[in-house]
Amino acid sequence: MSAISFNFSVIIIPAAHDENASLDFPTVNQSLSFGLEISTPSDFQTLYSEDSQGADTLKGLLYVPDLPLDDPCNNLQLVPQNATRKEDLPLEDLKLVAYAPLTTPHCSRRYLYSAGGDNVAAFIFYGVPEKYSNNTDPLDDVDFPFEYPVYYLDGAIGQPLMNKLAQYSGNLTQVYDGHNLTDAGYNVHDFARIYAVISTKGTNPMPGLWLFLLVVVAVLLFIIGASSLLMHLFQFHYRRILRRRIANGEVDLEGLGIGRITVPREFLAKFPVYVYISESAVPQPAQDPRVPQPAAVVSKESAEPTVASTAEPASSSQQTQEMTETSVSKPLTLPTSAQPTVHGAPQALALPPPPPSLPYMARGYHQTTCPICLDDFIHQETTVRELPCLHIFHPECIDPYLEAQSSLCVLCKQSCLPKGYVPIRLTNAIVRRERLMRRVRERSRANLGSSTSLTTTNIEASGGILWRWRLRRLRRQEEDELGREALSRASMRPTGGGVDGTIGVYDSGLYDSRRYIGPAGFGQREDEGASGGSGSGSAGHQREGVGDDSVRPRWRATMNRIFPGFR
Amino acid sequence: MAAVKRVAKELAELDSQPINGVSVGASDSDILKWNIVMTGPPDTPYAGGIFTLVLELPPEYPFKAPSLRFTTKIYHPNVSNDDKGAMCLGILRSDTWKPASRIRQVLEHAAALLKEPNIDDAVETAIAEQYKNNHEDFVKTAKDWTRKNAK
Repeated sequence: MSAISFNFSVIIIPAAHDENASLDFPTVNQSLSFGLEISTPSDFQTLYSEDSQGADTLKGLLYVPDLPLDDPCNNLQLVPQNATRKEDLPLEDLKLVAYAPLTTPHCSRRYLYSAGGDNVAAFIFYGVPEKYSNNTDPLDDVDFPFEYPVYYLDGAIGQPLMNKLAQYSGNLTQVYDGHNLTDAGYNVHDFARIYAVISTKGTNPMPGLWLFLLVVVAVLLFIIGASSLLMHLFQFHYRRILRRRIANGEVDLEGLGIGRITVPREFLAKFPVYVYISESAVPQPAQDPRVPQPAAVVSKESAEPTVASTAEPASSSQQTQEMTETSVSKPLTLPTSAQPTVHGAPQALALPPPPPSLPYMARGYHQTTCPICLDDFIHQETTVRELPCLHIFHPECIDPYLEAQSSLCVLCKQSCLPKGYVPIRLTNAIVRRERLMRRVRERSRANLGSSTSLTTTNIEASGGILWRWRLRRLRRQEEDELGREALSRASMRPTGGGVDGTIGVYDSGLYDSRRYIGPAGFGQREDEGASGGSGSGSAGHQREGVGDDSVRPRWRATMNRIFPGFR
Repeated sequence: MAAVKRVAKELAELDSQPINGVSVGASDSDILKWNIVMTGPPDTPYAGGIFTLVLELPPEYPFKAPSLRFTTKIYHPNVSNDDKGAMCLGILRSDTWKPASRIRQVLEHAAALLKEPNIDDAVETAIAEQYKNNHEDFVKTAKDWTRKNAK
C-alpha cells in the first residue's frame, strides 16, 4: 500500500450535524480555499505499510496528535499552537490522518504512540530543517504493530501544510479566507478542516498488465492443450483404424518398410509338422470318398478356398517348374482335437466344412523339394512344416527364416501370421507412413493407366504442391533412415539398399512403376544397381522402425509428443 | 552352412543342364562367388561378344538375393555404365526376391535381358532413350562396344 498520491483539501463540517454523520461532507472548491495535490514520487515516501489492509484510498481529517504540554517534543516553531488538534475536531468518531514533524526518534515515537490511541487511518511525517532533526527513520527501534501506514512528506511541502493546518482549526470566522467561504454560502458556525486523501497502490496484487499477460498465457496454454488433446485423439483414432485394417489383413506390413515382421515362436510352433508322404507312394488315397479323411486335412481344406485363390496366381513359373512330380504331404499322426487351430486362425473353426466337390488333390501344392535347401523330401522320412498357405518346408529351413527374416511364405509371399494379429506396436509414424504409401500407390495406379514409363519427376509434376511436398517428405524420411541404418551397422559392407519395403504389390505389372515411386527407389537408384539385389548385403539387420526417436533432437521429440502428427 | 550346400547343389545342376549361351563356374576360393561367361545372342548388337559377369551370393543366401554384375563393359540400358557394371534385374530386387528363386532363373533373366533390354526399368536412362528413339545409333554404339570390349 505504498502511496501514489496525496490530496489535501478543505471540507466544511456543518456545526449542526447528526450523530451518525460520516465524512461525506462537501469538499470545498480549491478556488475558494486551500487545496494541495502531491503526486510527484520524489516528494514523499512510504515508510511503513501493511499490505493486508484493504482500501485503495486512505481518508481522514488531518490533525496533530496530542502530546503533553510539557513534552519537549512540542516544538512550537514547527507545530503552531493552533494547529488542528484532536479537541478541534468536531466529531469524535471520524477517521483521522495524523500529521507530525519528523524530528528525533524519541519524538517520532511519542507521536506514533499518541496517534495509536486515536482512530487513525494513516500517519504522515514531514521533514523539518536540520537544526530540529537528525532525520532518522521514525520507525527505527519501533516494534509495536502499527495498524496504520506511515508516510513521509518532503519538508518543502510539509511545513507549509502544517501552517495551513494551523489556519484551519476553528470555525469559518477563524479560518484563513473564511469570508470567501461564507460568501459562498457556508454557515459562519460551520467548521472548516483539512481533509487528507491518500491514494495507495498495492491492494491489487495483480496490476493490469500482469493480469493481462496471465490471461494471454492461460489462453495460449488452453489452446495448446486443446489442440494437443485433439491431435492425440485423432492419432488414436487413426491408430485404431490402422489396427483394424491390419487385423483384417488389408495392410501389407512388410511393404511399409518398418523393419522386419517376423513370426513369433508361439505361432511358429502351431504350424503343423508332418512326416512327408510322397503322393506316388500312396496312390489316390484322398480322392476316394470312402476313405475317411483325417480331421486335420479337413481343417486344411477349410482354409483352402481363400488361400488357393490368392496364392495360385502369385505362384510364378518357377514354382510349377519345381513341381515335376506329384506328391502330397499328409499328416501321419491322427490329429487331436487341438489340431484345427494349427492355422492360428480361430475363424477356421467357424468356417463350414469344405464343399464335397472340392477334391483333396485339387490343391496344387505338390512339392517334392524344399524350396530353401532344394533337397528332396524323402517319403515317410522327412519331417515337413506346413505353413498356413499350405506350402511345406523343412522345419530347419523355414523356421529361422520366419523367426528372423520375414513373415511371408517363401513361395507365395503370403503372410504366415494369423488373421487379426497385429505384430507391431503401432506408432503415429507408422500410421502416417502407411497412409502416405497408400496414397502413393493409389496415385501410381492411376498414373499407370496413362503412361507406362513413370519417373519420379513426372509423378511429382502430376500432383499439386501438397502432393509434391508429401513425396519429398517420404523420400527424406527414407534417406534419413538409410543414413541411420548405415550408421548403426557401420562395419557391414556397403549396400545401397536394405530397404525391404516397397509398396508391396507383388504382381509384376506394377513392378516398373514401383521401382520409381516406392521408397526403395528413392535416392538410391544408382547404388541399387550396383549392389544387385540392393537388400542383399544388408546382413540380418533389424531396422528400428519408423518411430525411432533416438536420433531426433529433444525438442522435436517433445514437440511430437505434444502435437502428434505435426511435422 | 546352408547357403554353401544349396549353392553347390545349384552349381551342380547348372553344370549338368547348362543354360544356352551361359557358362558358370564358382571361383576357386569361394563358392559364393561365381564367374559367368555369356555369349552375345545372335541378331543383337552383342552378337559375337563374350561377356564375363560375376555373381555374388550373400552368406544368407537364399534368404538374401545375390548380385550380378558385368565385368565386361557393355552398352546396355539395364547395365550401369560404370566400373561396377551392375545389372538391374527385377528378380534380384529385395522385395521381389524369394528364397525359392534360383540362380538358374537369375541367369535366364540376365540372358533374356541381353536379347531384349527392359526399357522401362533402365538403369541408364540415356541409353534407354536412345534405344527407343534412335535405335540405329544405339545398335551402332553397342556393336562398337562389343567389338572393343567383348572380344
